[in-house]
Amino acid sequence: MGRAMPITAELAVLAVVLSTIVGIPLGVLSAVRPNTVSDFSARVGGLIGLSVPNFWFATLALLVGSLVFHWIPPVTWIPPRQSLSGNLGQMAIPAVAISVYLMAIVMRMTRATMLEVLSLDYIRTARAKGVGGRAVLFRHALRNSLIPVVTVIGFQVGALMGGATVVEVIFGLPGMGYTLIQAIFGRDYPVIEVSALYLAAVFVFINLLVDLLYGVLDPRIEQG
Amino acid sequence: MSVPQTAGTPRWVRDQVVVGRLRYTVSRVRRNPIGITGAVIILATVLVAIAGPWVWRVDYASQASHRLLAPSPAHPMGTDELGRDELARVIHGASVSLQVGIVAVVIASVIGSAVGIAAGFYGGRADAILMRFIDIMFAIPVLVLAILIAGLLGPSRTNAMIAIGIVYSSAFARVVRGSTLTIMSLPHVEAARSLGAVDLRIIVRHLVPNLIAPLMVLVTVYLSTAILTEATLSFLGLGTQPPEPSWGSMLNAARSHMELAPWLAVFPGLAIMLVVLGFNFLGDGLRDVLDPRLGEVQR
Repeated sequence: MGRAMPITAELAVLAVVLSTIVGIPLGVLSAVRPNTVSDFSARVGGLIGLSVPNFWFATLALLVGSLVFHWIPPVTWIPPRQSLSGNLGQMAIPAVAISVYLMAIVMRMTRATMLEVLSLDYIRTARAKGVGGRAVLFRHALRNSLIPVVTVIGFQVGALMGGATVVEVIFGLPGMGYTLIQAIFGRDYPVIEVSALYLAAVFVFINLLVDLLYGVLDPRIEQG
Repeated sequence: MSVPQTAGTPRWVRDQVVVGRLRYTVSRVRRNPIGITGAVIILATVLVAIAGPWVWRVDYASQASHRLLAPSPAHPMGTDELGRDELARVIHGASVSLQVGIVAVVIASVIGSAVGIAAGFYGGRADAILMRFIDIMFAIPVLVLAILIAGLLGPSRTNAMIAIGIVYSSAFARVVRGSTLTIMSLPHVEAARSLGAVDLRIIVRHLVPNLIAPLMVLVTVYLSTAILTEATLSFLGLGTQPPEPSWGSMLNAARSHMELAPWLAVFPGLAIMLVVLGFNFLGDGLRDVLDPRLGEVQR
C-alpha cells in the first residue's frame, strides 16, 4: 500500500501539470481571437478531447508506439529514485492519456472566463492608459480569469483519479487504482475499503489546497 | 416580428432593421452547427442500433469465420479473436451503450429528483440530512464509486446500470434541490398554497412541470458521461459480460491481439468517441439555448 500511493500521486501531478501548461495557453489564444477559424477549431478540439475515452487513447498510443516506433513502455515499475528518465519515459503515455480530458476542460474554462474578463471596463482602462497588449492580457486579464479555472481543476481531480485507475490497469502500474481493481476481483474487502478511502481523502485534500490557493490568486479573499 | 412599416420611418432605418435581423438569424445558424451536428450523430446512432441488425444480417455470436481477419468486403471491420464479425458486434454494442446510458440516467434522475425535491420542499432537518449524504457521495471520485458499487454487487450489465445511476444521482439531486428552492419562492406557488393546496398537489402540479427544463439539459449532458462510464466499467470487466459484446469489453479483448489485429482496437473506440461526441455537441448547443449557468459535468 505504501508503495502504491506515490505512483498514483505522481500520475495525477504529471497530468495536472501537463493539462495546465497546454490548456491555459490554448484557451487564451482562443479567447483573444473569438469566432475565427483557430477559435472554432480549438472549441471543436476541446469537445473531442472531452469525448475521447482515456483507455482508448492509451491503447492507441501503445499501438502506435509498438507498430511505428517499435517501443513499448517497460512492464515493471521503475521508481524515480532508481532512474528518473526511465520513470518519466514509463509515465509519459499514461499521464498524457489521463490529461487529455482535463486539458480540454481547462481550455474551455480559460476561454470562457477570458472572454468575460476581456469585456470588462478595467481592461479598457488599462488599454487606454497605454499598457501594452501583452501586459494587459497576462497581468490584468489572465490573472483574474484563473480562479474559476483553478476551481474546475480541483473539481476534476476526482475524474483524474478515476482515469488513473483505468490507466494503471492498462499499463500494469501498481498504484492505488490498480490495487483497488485487484482487490475487487479478489473480494479482498479490507484492501477495497482502504484504497477507496485513500482516493477519497486525496480528492478532499486537493480541494482544500484549491480553496487555499484562492487567497494567493486574489488577495481580496481572506482565509477564514 | 415584422419589420416596422410606419410611414414616418425613413427607408434607410427600415433597411438597417432588415439587415440587422438577417445578421441575427445568420449568426444564430452559424453559432448552432455544433448542436445540429450532435443531433445528427445521435439520430444516426439510434438508427444503427435499431435498423443495423436488419441491414447487416450477421449474427454477432457466430464463430463461423477465420480468426483475426483483416477488414475486407465480407467483414468490413474484420473478425475478432474467436472469428466473430466485428461489424455485427459494433452494431450490437450501439444498442447496449444506448440502453445502459438511458436506463442509468433514468435511475439517476428519478433518485436525484426525489432526493432533491424532498430536500428543497421540506427544508430544515430533512434538507440537512439528505444534502450531507449527497456531500459524502461527492467526496468520492465518481468512477471509483461506480467501480466499488459495480464490483460489490457483482459484475453484470444490470449492476453496472444501477451503479452508474446511483453515482450520478447526487449531481441530479443538487441541481433539482436548487431549482426547487427557486420555484418554491415563485408567486404562483405561494398563491396555490394560500388557496389551500396540499403538498402533493403543489409538487405535482406546480413544481415538477417547472423542473422539466433544467432536467432536460442535465439528461443530455449526463447521457454522454453515463455511456463513457459504462464503457470504462466494461473495459475493466465490471460491466457487460462476454459473450455479449459491448464497446468497452471489445476494446479490452482487443488489447491481447493488438500487434496482430490493430483494427480491433480502433473501431469500438471510434464508436464510443463518436456517440459521446454527439451528446457533448448536443449538450453544448442545448446549454447555450436553455441555461448557460449549468456549467461543466462532474466525472
